Amino acid sequence: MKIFTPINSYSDLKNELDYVKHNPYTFLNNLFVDYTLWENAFDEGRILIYKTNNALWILKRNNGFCDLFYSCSDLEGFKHDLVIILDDLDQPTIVTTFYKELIDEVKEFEYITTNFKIYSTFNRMSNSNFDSIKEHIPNNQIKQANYEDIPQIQCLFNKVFDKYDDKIPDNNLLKHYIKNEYVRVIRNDDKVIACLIATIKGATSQFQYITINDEYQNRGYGSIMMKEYLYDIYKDYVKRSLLWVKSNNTSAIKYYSKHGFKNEGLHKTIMIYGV
Amino acid sequence: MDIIVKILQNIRPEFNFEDTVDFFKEGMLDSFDMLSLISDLEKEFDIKINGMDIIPENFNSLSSIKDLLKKYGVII
Repeated sequence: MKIFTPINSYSDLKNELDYVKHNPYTFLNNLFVDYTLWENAFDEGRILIYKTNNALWILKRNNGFCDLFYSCSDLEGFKHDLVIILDDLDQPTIVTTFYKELIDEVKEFEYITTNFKIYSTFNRMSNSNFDSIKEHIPNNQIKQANYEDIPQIQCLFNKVFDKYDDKIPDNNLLKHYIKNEYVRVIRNDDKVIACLIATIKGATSQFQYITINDEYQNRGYGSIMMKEYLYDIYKDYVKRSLLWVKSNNTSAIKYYSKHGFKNEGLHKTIMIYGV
Repeated sequence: MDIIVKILQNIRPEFNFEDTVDFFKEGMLDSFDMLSLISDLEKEFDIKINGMDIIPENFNSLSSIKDLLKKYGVII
């Protein structure tokens, strides 16, 4: 990799981002990311940047693939840089983008599709159904996760989720979630058979993952975890819960709808290069 | 100002936008809601918001939205 250089801390990246925020670079971007969760990636030299006259490009190396983020001045500059960047990539690379109808003047979607192929699309769903906390009886099978659960949670996630579009959390991110966010598990003989993870920011909770071990599916564990989750968040300050679900996953959409989630009409698309 | 509140509550009916200092810090809006908000403001006031103005700082409170609209000739 010749053109990208490592950036070593969140504060350094923030300086770069603050700079681009106040110049025309912001015309075209996909910077919908929480960089504060990248602490370990900075420490391990996995965050790289490439600055040009047209843009700030950020590459995040993951396990076997990269995420590409950008903040560009205009479409022509974007195209110019992208040709150089694609030539320099040494791993499959993902770009998350958003349907053009959201901002008509940004034609990024059309251009990226000529270089990247569509890997998957997601719908956003939201729930603000406070009725879910009425008459709820807390379930004593559901426990707060601890660090000892991490290997088993990872094992569950690796079986079920796709590394490219589900962004399976690594060891450090799971530690962060357990320490700071909402992580619940159901154990059976010390074996984690179900796990639910959500993050909370102010009045909004972002539902991240739910998974049940194959052997324990269709026994209602998913529903009791979801009900408990909605009860827990709404009894405090949270007023809405959001999630992203694959557009073609009709059974998951049906499942979330059953729990009061409604389609918001917002979409995101995962594009991939080099696969 | 009422019309802005109405647009915001149409996007996120569960929140009270009138008493909030920073919509993003309070978790009432995120980047995706911002895109919906931009689209609704453009339709309501028949304007086209420049990409350079699409930053959270311009949409994080009623007064910042009002200031942005003023820039596009919309007086509320």
